[in-house]
Amino acid sequence: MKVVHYLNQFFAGIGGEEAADHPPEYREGPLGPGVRLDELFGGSAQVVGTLLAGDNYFSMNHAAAMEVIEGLLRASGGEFLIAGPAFNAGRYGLACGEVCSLAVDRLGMPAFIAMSENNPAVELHRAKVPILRTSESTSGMGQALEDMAAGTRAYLGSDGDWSDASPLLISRGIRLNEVSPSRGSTRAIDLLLSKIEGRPYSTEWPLPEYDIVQPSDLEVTNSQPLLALVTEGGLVPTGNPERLNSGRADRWFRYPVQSMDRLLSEEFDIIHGGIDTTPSNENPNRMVPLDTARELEPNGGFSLHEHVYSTTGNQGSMPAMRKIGDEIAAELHNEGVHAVIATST
Amino acid sequence: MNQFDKAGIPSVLVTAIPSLAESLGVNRIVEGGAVTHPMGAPDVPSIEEQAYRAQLFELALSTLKTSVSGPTVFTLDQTA
Amino acid sequence: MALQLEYFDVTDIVLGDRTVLEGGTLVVDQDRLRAHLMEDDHFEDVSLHVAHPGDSLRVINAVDAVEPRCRLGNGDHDFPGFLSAPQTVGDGRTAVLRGAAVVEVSEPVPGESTYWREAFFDMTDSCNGFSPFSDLANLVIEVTPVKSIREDERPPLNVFEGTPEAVSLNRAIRMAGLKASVFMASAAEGSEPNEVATFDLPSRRNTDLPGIVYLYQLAIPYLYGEIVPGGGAIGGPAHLPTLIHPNEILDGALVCGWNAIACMRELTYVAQNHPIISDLYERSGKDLEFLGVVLFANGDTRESKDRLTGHATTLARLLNPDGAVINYAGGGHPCVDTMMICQKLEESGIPTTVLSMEMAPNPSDSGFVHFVREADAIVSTGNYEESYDFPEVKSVLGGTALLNSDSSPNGPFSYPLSGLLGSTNQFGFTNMTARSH
Repeated sequence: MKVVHYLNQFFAGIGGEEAADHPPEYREGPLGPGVRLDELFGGSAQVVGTLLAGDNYFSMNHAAAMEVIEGLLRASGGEFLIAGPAFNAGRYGLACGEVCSLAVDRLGMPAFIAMSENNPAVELHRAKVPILRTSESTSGMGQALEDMAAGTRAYLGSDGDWSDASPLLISRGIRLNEVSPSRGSTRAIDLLLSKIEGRPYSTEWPLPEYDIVQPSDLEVTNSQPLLALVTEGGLVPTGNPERLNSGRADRWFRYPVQSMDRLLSEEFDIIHGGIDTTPSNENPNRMVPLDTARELEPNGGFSLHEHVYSTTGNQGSMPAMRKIGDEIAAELHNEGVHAVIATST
Repeated sequence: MNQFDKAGIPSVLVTAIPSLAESLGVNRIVEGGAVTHPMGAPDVPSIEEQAYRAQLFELALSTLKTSVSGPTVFTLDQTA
Repeated sequence: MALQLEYFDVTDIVLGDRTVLEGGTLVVDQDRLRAHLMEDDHFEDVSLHVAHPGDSLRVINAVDAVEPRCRLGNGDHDFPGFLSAPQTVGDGRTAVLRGAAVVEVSEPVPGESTYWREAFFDMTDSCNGFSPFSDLANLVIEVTPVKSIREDERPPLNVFEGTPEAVSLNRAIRMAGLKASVFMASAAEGSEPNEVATFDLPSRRNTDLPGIVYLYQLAIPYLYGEIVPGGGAIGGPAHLPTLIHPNEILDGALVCGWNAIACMRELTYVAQNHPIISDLYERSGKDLEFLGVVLFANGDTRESKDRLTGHATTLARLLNPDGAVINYAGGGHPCVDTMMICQKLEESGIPTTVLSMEMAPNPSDSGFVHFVREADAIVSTGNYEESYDFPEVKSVLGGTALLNSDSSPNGPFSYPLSGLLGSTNQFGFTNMTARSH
């Protein structure tokens, strides 16, 4: 199996931070840690070449960067891409993720990344690209390389399945269909009997785990707290000019309401794709209660922020929703907003 | 929702399915009208609907000042 | 109340000039059957076809599937409430042509909801066992409705149901499937079955074995010819949860009532061969005791959900179970009712398992519509949003176009599991599941 190894400017021996803009190159044979990796493969695979680039390269011109990388990968004749180990280095991890995602998407090439569980790039890429767990720091280099070789062998040995390598991999946070040896009804009864009879049992479909966050309270002070209205019901100006998705949204919008007493149905639509939007289209205040907020504002002990915030929660993926939440929270923070009333379907 | 709490901004969610919000770890939850109109009541006359929305809003506001120690559901027929 | 199913194994169906079972081959008098089905005023034409496992054939626009069966006692009614006056079924003897199925196909008409209408399966082995019908000898009944229905210009009144004409047509199509089923099964009368199985609930409780109750959530099938809609309290026996004898389900009391998403449509064939009921019966007296079935739909408001789930829980507890199996019928908010029942049973000390399909548009979504923390033993029947590649086939039965894809129905095309008839059946009829990585 012809392996291409992706490294950043540091591990490829080009230089440190000053070389972070280094454009991508392809060099024959292994470099840096790739030399040891090649030895560890012991003939089951071979590092035919090294793809290297500076960690800042992708942020400079993403589209052009991807074209160059694609060209280099195609020309390399490689069949399998391994990136890292990036340990805890965030920019390196992100670059690994970009390159491996490209290999998977555009070349149909199997790929994996080696990095630490806490690398910020993990959350973004683990669904698409398997990630092999390493230590946080480069002191774990020896172990990382051994694991990378073992993971590769497990993948090749099982004919393109990552299951055997799974103890080495960080959870990908994905679920995939498969055909069980027995039918669902049989499995359900077996599972129930284990539960009744006190034997160990495990669910086929784990419930989502969510962060426990300590809530803060709104302080009752003399000044009027600034209150913002937020919705995941897909509030958009009529005609949806920015094309907010009615499902699987990855964006949010804010709309100025300073001059409005209420949301008018001629000016706003509700586009959440998972519900009957008729009642809220007739009167958008049923989704975002601007009319009530204005009514209560004079004596209600609060003042209303000049924007309302909107996204669509329908089929939203957790990473996307968290990102949207963080971004809105950051803006609210910057705008001095003290509290939020949010609505959801 | 939890991202607002994380940023130190007290927040409350008005939703028709409070149990889902509870399982997701949302701290302040007000039980709203229905899935299609969390702050509405289209089946009643407009004046009643306005009053209902105002009640929900006031309840939501009051929860922001109430200390909670985990996901808590507030409904209109509850007395705090 | 003991039901005796007499199985006649069928490996092939042939259209001919008489109706007779010869070894494993069922010959069907096609002219007589066609004439019988054409008695219905909704139909302009009916054509009969056979789809064999291994054929390079794709069946599209499926409406329902039925196992050929007929009750054998004097005065017995088949599919009561539908083909005949109501009668409690689930006792006596019923002939089953095992290995065969009747599938009705028809293109949607104006006024019909096409939202969930798409339903197909392949007879090639591309389905890899994903659709139960790929392995059966299928008599495919292709229905052409009369012109007035085909050329109706009015828009649908209700996006889920469609116009009354479309609803009436669909009911007629299903009736045709039931009629064909009885017609075919009558070929077995007087012959010796390959196997006989008896279904009988225990008369005395064996307290050494754990007693299991099955809580059966329905979306919209017909029960004894009455519509059982999902939600709403407008009267009728199964709007309020009810105890029911499992034999009734196995013997034709429940018929598909609606074109729900193909992967989880409540097909008559699956009710007749209900896997949870069959498995519980199979194991009753061995590692468990089968206590009975509670049938429930779902409420459409918070209040009605509270009421209905409370009642379903009470009925289940009346049987003094040691554990409960619950299925989620599909369709979104009925999941809330399923989870509420799970929670209420667990709170009363009764362990539960839940069967459910997953609805994850992309692999990193949780796939849950709703859950409670007590649902710690779930069997997944697969994620119906996952896409598969379907190959090119020589022929297509049931229409000239796919509804939700611009690709030719001959293929090749990609399509999510949702379009494949019976693939993620919520009673665990297939082996499809999903796993975390």
